[in-house]
Amino acid sequence: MEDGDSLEGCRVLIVEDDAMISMMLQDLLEDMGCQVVSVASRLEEAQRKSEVDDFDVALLDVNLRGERTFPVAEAMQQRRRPFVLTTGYATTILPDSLRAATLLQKPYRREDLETALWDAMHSG
Amino acid sequence: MNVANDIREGSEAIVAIAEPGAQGAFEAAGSTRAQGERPRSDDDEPQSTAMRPAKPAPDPHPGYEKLLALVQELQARNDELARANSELNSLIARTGIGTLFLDGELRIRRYTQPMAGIFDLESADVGRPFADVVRNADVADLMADAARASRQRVAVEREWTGDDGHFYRVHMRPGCTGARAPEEVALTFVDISERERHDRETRSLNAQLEAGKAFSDSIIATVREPMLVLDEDLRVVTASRAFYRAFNTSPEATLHESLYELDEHRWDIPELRRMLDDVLPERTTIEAFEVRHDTGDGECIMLLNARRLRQQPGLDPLILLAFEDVTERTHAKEALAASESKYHALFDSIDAGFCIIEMLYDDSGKPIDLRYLEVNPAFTRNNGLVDAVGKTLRGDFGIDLEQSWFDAYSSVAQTGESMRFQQYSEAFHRWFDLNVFRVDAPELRRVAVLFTDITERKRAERALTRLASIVDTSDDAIISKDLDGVVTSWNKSAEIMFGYAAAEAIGHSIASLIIPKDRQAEEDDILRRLRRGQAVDHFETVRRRKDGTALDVSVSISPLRDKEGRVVGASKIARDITERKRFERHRELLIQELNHRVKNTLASVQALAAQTFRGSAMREAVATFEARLLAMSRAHDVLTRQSWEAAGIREVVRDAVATWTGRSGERVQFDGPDLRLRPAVSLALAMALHELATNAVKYGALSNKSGRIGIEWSVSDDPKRCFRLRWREQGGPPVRAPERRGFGSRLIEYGLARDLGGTVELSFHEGGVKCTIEAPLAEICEEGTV
Repeated sequence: MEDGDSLEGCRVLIVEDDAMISMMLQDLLEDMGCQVVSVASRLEEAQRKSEVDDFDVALLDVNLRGERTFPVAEAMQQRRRPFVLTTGYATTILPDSLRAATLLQKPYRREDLETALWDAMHSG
Repeated sequence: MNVANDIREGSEAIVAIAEPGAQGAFEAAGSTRAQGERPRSDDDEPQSTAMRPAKPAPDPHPGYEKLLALVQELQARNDELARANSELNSLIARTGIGTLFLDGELRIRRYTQPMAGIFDLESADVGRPFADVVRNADVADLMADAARASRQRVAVEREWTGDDGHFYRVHMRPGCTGARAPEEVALTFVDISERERHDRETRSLNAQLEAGKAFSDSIIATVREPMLVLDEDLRVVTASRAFYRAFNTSPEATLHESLYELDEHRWDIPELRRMLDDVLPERTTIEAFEVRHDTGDGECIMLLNARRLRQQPGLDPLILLAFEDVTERTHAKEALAASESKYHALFDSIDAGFCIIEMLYDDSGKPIDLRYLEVNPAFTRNNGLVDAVGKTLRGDFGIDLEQSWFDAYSSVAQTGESMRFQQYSEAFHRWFDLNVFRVDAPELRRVAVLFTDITERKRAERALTRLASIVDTSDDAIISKDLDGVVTSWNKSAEIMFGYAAAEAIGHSIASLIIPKDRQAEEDDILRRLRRGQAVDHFETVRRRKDGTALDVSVSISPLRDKEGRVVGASKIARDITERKRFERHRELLIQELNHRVKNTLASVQALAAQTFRGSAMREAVATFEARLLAMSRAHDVLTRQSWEAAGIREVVRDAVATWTGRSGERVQFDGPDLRLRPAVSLALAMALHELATNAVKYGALSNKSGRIGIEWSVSDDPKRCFRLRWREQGGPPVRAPERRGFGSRLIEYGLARDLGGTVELSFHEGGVKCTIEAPLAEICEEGTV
């Protein structure tokens, strides 16, 4: 995977309740040439922003302060909006409906992030 | 002269004889009467005479010639008569028959010579009344009869005993003068002494015979046994009533018949013929000769006694034949013998001990011991006593049987009431099941004991009771079923677990009760395996309750076998694992949360480091840090997959070197037994391997294109069970030992050694880095997970 070019200008929605990780992501994505369009740290915010904001791909933490974000993911899957699920859980936690989703296990390397984003945007 | 005398005497005698007109007594008398003075015209009855005299013809004109002729004829006749008279007299004399002639007044007129001997007569007695002459003899009856013959002119006959002791038959005949006056009577005395004696003897003998015959007949008639009297030709002379009864026959069909023809030749048996025809004449008796004979209604067994009876000389011998029907007795005897041998065989072959014992008492009448009179072979097997016959239990065997046993036996011996009981004997250390009953006469104090050692059975029963109580109180459902899946037992826990009462479940298919529809195939498979005799070990599945709800169970199934070892069913132990399942799910959730937190924390730390060193010149250091952090994260993944219990060493090694093997292909080889490491050990090992691999990539075997790494681990066979892992690099660039031990080295040498409770030796050989990790197995592995 060649970094840089393919994700240049890519607009990203970040759904992450951990501020530190959120900040690191913003730095990483900007380093990669992406544009962070919005950041959500709560479920309803994530729901709203995932519906209204203009983005190419969403980075969606599975767990927001103890709440599962599966409904948001499923809604985006319905609307064919690309997204990457990030989680500290094992893959086994995913419901059957999201088995095909791209999953990025925390902690991850920059390369892993790039691969995941690229996979999400190019699958389906 | 002799002749003339004879004639004279004879003519007198003839006259004397002719006068009474004895008809037919003498032939000559008839002829004298023919020329007698008073020829009777009416007496024209044909006179058969030997002499046939010519009939005198009346001559109406008598003349001289005629007279002369008459005289001559008379003379001739006289001569003839004299001759006949003489012949008659000599005849009479020769016969020795005494004849006495009495006139109408019963005076003696004539007598022949023998009379003189009888009555001692003399010639002078002629003309005297006979009764006067004969005084010494009892002649009154005789004279009365003579008077009757004379007066009534009838012949009278009587017997008379003379003084000489002789016995006479006396014939008294009157003369035939036709006059009214008493006739002359001729008395002839025939000595019948010899005949009379003979007759008397015969009569007496006959009477004895008759009496004897009547006696024997009455005996024969009344004896219980059928009895025959046979003559020499084996014809029946007499038969007893019992004979008629026994053979259902009659006197008509029996008497005078041949023995062999009786009753349709019933007795025509070759053996019997031989006995009667050959043996009897020689031996005179045959005793208890057994005749077996098929009567058609079954076999008939007879004992025959035969005896030759010797009669008076001259009489034919008789044969007495007595029959004794011993069919029933013999059959009973045979049956008894058969039955006895059967019982003997039974007692010899039964598993139960059998003995006949005699109770022994002390002076006060208390039963204190017993003696064995008879024992069967199983006796010893059941109580251990050897050669017991004739021995006493206390006295000879020294076995101090509890008093209660003696009391019980004694009670049976005295009352005759049988007892059946089960009892433990401390003296024998055994449990017995006993049947005690009295035998023989009560005063013998004998009882028979049929007993079985049931110690094993009792033990088994107790075990069974315990087992049953275990089954009853078990929290697990314990169910048995046959090979068709039909429930045969159903314990309390099964009732609680599945909601069906035992009565509802037993006899029904287990599939219809508790197997969910989607698990029917599983049940079919289980039954197939059971029929092959295989057990089905702990598997987790789902069963259905009566209310339709599902139930998580852990099931273990074993085949049930009969005595011959054939599989006849299965016992199934089902444990309700709903709780466990819930717990497991909960734990899994917790682990996931834990993992989530750990990973998120690691991600946060990563982000923190990234922020901290952002834009600095320490880019390489940040990368190293990040790699270490990710190595730790991967180690956690291994633990997570194992629910934080233990991690397989192969997995730990593979994941630790995964980053590099992915790039270097087969250049990293690892091998060793799979061991389950403690969580802390697996983390420490993973971090150490990460450091070694990182170093290899930077400076060692993986820094060029040809180097290789070998990772091998093993456990020593000695009791210390030492774990040893070797990291060996080859083909890399020449190694230079670092001037200063970096964090990686320290982490390996100190951190790992401490975490493993063992030793770590890291050496920087020129040919390649070597690292040897040693630790007691017990320190690195979970107990029992090696």
